Amino acid sequence: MEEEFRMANLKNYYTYIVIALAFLASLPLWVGGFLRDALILFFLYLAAAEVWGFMAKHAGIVSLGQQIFMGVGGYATAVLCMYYGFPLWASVIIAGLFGAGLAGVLSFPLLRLRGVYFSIGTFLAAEIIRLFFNSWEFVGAGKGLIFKDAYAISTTLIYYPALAIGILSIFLVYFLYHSKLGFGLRSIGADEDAASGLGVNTFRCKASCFTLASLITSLVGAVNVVHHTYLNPTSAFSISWTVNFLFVAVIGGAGTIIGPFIGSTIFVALGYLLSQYLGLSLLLEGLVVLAILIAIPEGVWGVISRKLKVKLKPPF
Amino acid sequence: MDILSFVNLIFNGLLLGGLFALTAFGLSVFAGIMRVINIAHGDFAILAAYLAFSIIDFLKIDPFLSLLIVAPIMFVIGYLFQKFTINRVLPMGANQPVLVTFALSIVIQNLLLLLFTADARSLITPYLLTNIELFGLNPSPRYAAGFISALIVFAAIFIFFKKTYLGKAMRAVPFDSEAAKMIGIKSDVVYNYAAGLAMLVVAIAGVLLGITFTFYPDTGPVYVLLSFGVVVMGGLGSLKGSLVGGFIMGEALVLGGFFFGSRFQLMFCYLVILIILYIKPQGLFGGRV
Amino acid sequence: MLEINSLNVFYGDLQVLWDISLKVDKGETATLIGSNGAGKTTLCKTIIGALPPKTGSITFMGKRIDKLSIPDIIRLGITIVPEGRRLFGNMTVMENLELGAYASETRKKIDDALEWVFNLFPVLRERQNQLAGCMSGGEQQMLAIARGLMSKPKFLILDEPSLGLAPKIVTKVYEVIERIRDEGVTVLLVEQYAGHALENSDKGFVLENGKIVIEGPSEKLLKDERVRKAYLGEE
Repeated sequence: MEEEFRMANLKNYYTYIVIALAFLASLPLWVGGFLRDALILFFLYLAAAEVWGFMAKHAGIVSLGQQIFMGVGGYATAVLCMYYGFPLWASVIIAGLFGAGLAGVLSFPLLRLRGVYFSIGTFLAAEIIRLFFNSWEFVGAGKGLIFKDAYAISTTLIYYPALAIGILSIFLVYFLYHSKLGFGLRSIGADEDAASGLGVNTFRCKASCFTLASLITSLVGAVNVVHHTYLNPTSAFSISWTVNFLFVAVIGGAGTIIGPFIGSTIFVALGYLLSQYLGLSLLLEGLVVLAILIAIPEGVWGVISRKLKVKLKPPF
Repeated sequence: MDILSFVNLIFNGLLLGGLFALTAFGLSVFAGIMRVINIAHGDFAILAAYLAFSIIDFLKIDPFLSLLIVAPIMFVIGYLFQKFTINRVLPMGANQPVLVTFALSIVIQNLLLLLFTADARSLITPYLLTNIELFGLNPSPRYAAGFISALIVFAAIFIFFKKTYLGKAMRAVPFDSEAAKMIGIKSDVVYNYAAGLAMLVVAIAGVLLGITFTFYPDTGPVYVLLSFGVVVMGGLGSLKGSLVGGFIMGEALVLGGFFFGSRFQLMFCYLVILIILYIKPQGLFGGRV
Repeated sequence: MLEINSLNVFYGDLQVLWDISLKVDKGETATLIGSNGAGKTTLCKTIIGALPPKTGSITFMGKRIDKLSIPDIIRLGITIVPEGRRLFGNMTVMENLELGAYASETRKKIDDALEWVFNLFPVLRERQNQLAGCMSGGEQQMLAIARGLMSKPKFLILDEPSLGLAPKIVTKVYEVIERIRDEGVTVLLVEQYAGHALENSDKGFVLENGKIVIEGPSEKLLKDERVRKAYLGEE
């Protein structure tokens, strides 16, 4: 009773993919400024949610500390550019790599922790870093930084890196799923002890995954600071980043590639509807996530694919 | 700083440790029985503090007296929370309860923000703001109140677990839930009551925390992290361990303040927890969830 | 006393018991024999209420019990001593015994039950305050049976009471089982190695692949070729 996966062979869809990419690339040229902003947010949150969801669903690593990389990516970009004179976009890329490096270092204390201990560990680390930045005069401590160099960058220009990161995250998740590393990760997610018994180097797999995912998240944080031009420890290292990424991933379907597309659309729309009421939007996100986790844990895409009896090649 | 002042500091750290132990009891009971670390633990404590605040505002009674109303409410909240939320997601895999309690944490924080604004709050007990002198030391009355409450609650829970049928069932189910089922113990029901009990303890801790420190809607995470630290040091599900862990945590906070200033004392505590986890990823006494 | 009719039990979509019918009368001792995976424990779980049957019925003292909850069935008088003892090793002997009365009426007047059980098992009276996890295999089996007796059952199911025990201890266990029978308790013995069980019971049922293949008085089964080959360790 082998089920045929649709979209089993991506090669058949190459033309569609190229057309879609061309369309996406052309967007800023003919949509309004309002939509351009929305699109930037869409792709940034999409990317962050893709990697968070993959880690959580397939590798069994639930990170509650994504804000570490949002903040570090942002601060590194601003500091490199303003204090050390690096070109802006080079700063973004280096910030991304720096964030990945930090993830590699943090893997040592954090990834030997199992299950919820790891999750709390990530939150703990995030709080330590936030408190540290709050007192670090070099980066403006509690007052934060104003990223003057980014004022001149138009939303059109920011859109392309955001789009690129979004696409990169999809490739990364696909690669992570189907590679040998991904196979190891999925066995860890299923049963870490068994995987380790079978010879999987669980630490190395998890660390690699965490590092790659954090590369994306740091890039998101970097582009985000170019977009917002202002940074302070409270907002840069706020738990709401993780909440938002979690929302996007879970509502759409954590661990799937298509899920976060749905989630990010809903999130961006909700964000605009509730833009004045920060507390209310977080409250709503929390309630919706709770409801989904209890009632439809597979997310909107999970329900749709079940109802339509569509089964795509994983991790789509 | 002279010797006497330093001893005073250490002594107050111990008293404060009692309060931290009390705060951690709820987390320990919950995790020891349900095998779930409630990430919203601190937020439930702050919820209790805000509940007390409202009741005190309305009825003009003493904060300790308000516990007579707050504690039963929190018991019911815990019971319902377990019944309709945690029990539903327990079969869904080990990470589902993590996500659920995290989401709940966010919900509670933002609900409190909506209802009470971001202003600082405190539960006022003027009679605890006096100066006490004991053998040349100056114990903080509020810390002492927390310490004494911790001992009372500890004794009460200990007796409950040792002497009542429900208490014994709560110890049997996490050990072997299949066997408990076979002799007629319904683990779902036991979990509901255990969650209620945990929240009852959290309520007491929350009111004491509200008396001792100012609180805001987002203070919850601080207490879940510190409680987690206590539990990591003392061992999951061990009440005695929570006392020991609490004392260590209390000392860490006061000594951190002494050496690094009040700006960094919390960060110091967090680092201590992280270092302990680095050395012993299972916590000082093992016992994984 | 216990009557099972055309019982069919599934784990999800997988059928594990086919058309089981058997009867155990009051005061009798019956033996259920079967190798690993034959379905013995599944049948026990179904009787006690842990597993609902798809079709068929279980009647106890005239009352249908196949849709009742475990605590209700225990209150009606059926108790199981689970396979592998399944004691609460983190609790004392006394606490394990007390929990045996948890679901039944005896929890209100527990001292009578404790006296009865301590008279049957003097070693438990000595070791009241010892942790259950720190006892020998034989003592643990005694405690497991004693815990089962705390609910003052009318019908006691013993799932593999001789498992993992030295022959001398097995003899002692069966001596206790005989004393329980003398007190009027109806007993269902479930065993893989059938020797002791058949020698101490009135009738037996052989379960193979989820179906009852042989049944009859124990004396007859002891002499039955098929039984001797498969379950009595003969060549």
